[in-house]
Amino acid sequence: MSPESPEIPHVSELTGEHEHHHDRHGRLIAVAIVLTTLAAALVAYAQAAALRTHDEADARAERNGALALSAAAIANDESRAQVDRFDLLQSEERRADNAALFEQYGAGSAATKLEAARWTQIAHQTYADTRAIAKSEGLPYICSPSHDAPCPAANGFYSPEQDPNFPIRYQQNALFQSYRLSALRDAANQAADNGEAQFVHYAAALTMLAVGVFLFGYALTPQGRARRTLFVRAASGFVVVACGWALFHALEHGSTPPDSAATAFANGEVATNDYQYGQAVADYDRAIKLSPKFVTALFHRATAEYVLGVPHSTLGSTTLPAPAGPVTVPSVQAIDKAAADDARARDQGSTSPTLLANLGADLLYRGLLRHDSNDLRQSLDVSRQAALALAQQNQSANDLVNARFDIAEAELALGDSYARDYQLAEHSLQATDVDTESGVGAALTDLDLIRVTHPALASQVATLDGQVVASVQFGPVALTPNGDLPAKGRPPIRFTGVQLQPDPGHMLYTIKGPGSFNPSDDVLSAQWQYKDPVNGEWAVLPEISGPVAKGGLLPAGPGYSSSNPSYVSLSTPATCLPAGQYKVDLYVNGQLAGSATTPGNWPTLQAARFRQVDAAICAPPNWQPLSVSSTPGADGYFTANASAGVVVFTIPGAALGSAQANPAALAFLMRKVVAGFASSVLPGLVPKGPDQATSFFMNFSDGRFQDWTFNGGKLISGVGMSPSGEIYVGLSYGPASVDVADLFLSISQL
Amino acid sequence: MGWRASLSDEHAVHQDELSRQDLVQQQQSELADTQLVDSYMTQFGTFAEDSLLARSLRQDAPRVDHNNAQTMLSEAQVDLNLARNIGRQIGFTYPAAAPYVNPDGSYEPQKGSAFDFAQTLAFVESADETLHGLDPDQLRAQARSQRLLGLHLTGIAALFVSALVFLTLAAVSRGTRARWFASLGGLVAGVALVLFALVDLF
Repeated sequence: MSPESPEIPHVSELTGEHEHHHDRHGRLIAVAIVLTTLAAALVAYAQAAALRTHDEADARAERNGALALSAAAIANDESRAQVDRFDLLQSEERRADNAALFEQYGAGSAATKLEAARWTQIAHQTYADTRAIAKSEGLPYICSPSHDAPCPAANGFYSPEQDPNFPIRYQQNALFQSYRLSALRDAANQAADNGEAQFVHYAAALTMLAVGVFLFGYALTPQGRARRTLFVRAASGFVVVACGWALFHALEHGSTPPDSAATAFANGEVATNDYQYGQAVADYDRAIKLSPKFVTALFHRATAEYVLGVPHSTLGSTTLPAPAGPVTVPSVQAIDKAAADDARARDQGSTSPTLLANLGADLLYRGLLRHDSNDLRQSLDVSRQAALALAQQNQSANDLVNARFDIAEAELALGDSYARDYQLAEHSLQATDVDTESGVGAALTDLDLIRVTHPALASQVATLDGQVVASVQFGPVALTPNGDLPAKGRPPIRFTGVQLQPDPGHMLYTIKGPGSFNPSDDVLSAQWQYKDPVNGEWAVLPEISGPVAKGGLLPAGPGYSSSNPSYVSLSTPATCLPAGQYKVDLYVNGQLAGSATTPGNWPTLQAARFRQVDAAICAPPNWQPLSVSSTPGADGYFTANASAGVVVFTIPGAALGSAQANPAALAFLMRKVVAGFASSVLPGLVPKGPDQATSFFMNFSDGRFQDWTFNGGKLISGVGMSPSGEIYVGLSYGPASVDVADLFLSISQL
Repeated sequence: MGWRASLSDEHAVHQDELSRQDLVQQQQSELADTQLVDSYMTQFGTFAEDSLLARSLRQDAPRVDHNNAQTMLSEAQVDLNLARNIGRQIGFTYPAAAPYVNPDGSYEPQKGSAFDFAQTLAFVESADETLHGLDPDQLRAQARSQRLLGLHLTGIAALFVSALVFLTLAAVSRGTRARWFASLGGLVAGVALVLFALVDLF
């Protein structure tokens, strides 16, 4: 050994002369010790790098999270300000129109003429300023293609004419950056998780290397001499495994998702919130392809796929699920996709109880539709986990109700004991923050799906239907020994002569024989249902269903009729009912008192929202809006050649002066408006009879209507005054091939 | 070496924490400033409407009968006063970003631009003292460099261990081979020392 080398004792010095032949082994072990130490140093370096990756990704995630929140708040605020500018413009345009209408239908004067011109001028200036302000803010402005000029298509896209849920489309567009930052936060969290996993694996490798160094060292001691080979082999084993372990995880490290995945996700979020579910799925597909472990994208794609499986009305930018209700069961193919994505998101580490609840519902529906008890058992397990987690959370009462009903429904379908879980679910409906009718509607829809798929359970389903409805009226109830529901001291009531008259915008029922029903003492609940053309169950329309409130039932001869609630008015976004089978179940004091079904035959219609009037109609998708600027205070939709159409006029109540509350004055005004509109468009227009009172024109209590004929067609007009003092005159007309009455009835307040 | 690396990591964690605090404060202030400017923008809408209404009423008054004219002039005065009050708030606070205002305090769209959102926001933010001195990005960059320093120091420690390997090999070898190993060990240790000095000093 050279004199400058470090002083390492010879093995012979430690063990004696008789061990001299082992000197070579000792030196090799010493080299192994140092090599193991080097390996440990390298692993420690890799561990430090993993820790750095984790810490930086963590910091990045936190930063993106904070920026996402802030971007959302700022975007909401700025978009709200732009929507306010648009509202200001609209209010000025309405004031100009009101002045013009006052001039036309009221006691006009030079002052009213000047007023109309004044507000028109102010509106023009407001529009010019809005464009300049939006430019300085770096945001698009909102304009109405039928009224504002110039209005580029990209800006008109955000207008109430083209956005069925105005101003959601505009707000969602502003939120794009926030969604993108949220996705970048998720990606950074994923990178941090990868870094942490690597750190842990390197720590395990370091531990093994430490053990290896100890065993090598022990093999050199006099005490370890006797079993040196064993110690060396064991140490070598630890070192080899540790190095292999570290190398494997160094090469295997997870990749960081590219930023383009975040962009695709943000596009998907905007599309989802704009009801463009097909586009949303395509965007999420891209995001998941770029980042296969993107849990939120998987979760949201599942939701979009689920909704896509529900029949939709119309196409393009106005496509909406039809009916709009949240309780329809989608096709089994859509459920398959949604369940696969939900399960994948869960397996990738999502702990969202909402995701679990969705997965439970997916499995329940699939199990029912395919008669698969394995799916039903899984649904039971998953829904129970979801319910447990949701019960610990605030602001998740609706999800909890659905999860608890899913548990009870799975038990019912499996033949297990279900009474306790049904009572628990019904008890959840009593929470103050629950959308009660959506919960009841979903439960009744699911029960009917069980009836359709498991006919043997029909009697239990019928009993549970009443129990669920009664639970809302009286709280959770148990059945009496003979299977009846308590009627709170009133004898069971049976209706006769229940009839339905649905139209694309409304649902009307009449009861000819109400029996001993007394609206003062009895609680009536109407559950409107639409027959799902995909799975065959009766799906409740929660928007127009539920306990009938005061004023919801009108005397009609010896019986009653409903106040004809407008589905268009009550659904969000405004949606028209599709053609198909409709049914109403009328429950009195929690017991089924009457029921009726009827077909609704009409073409595919879409809710067309008026711009100048807070109203909408159900019009064929190819009808064109009226150029509002040409007719102050009026909005309408027409066929391409104007052979049929619907128009609504709003006129300030002050135009009638003191005669506002006079039905004759309202009818006179209606005839004046109709005559003014028809003079150049509908030759030969004459009234078919006198005007009559109606409560079905826009649900006005003082409404009146009148039938007309003209050369080659007919016209129906109506008039009524809103609580805010505006007079609405509506008319629909067309040749015999057009259902003018349905169009007229579909005119709904928003 | 390990001690120095550990110190660097600890420093990086602290810088990250400071960066986080700065970022939250910055976001809150920016949001409040944006909301303020949005409220100015809403006020501008009323200001412009009242101004134009006042002018239009005054112009139209001579075209109607005496009673109506008096009413219109009276309304014009009310609208002008309202416009003037709002104009004071948005115009005098941030004059360079405000639209052109007539001597009577009303909006004059023909002589200037409309409300400039971006410029007003810039004014509001520059006047917002809570934003001054906040630099979360710089703190975050410092944390990154501290983490990198810690990593470099750990790497240099590994180099020292490499030197130890060569010196051990020299110790268990003989003749020329031993000298080669020793020289190599010395060289690696020297490089590690130089790198340590470079990393630590710069």
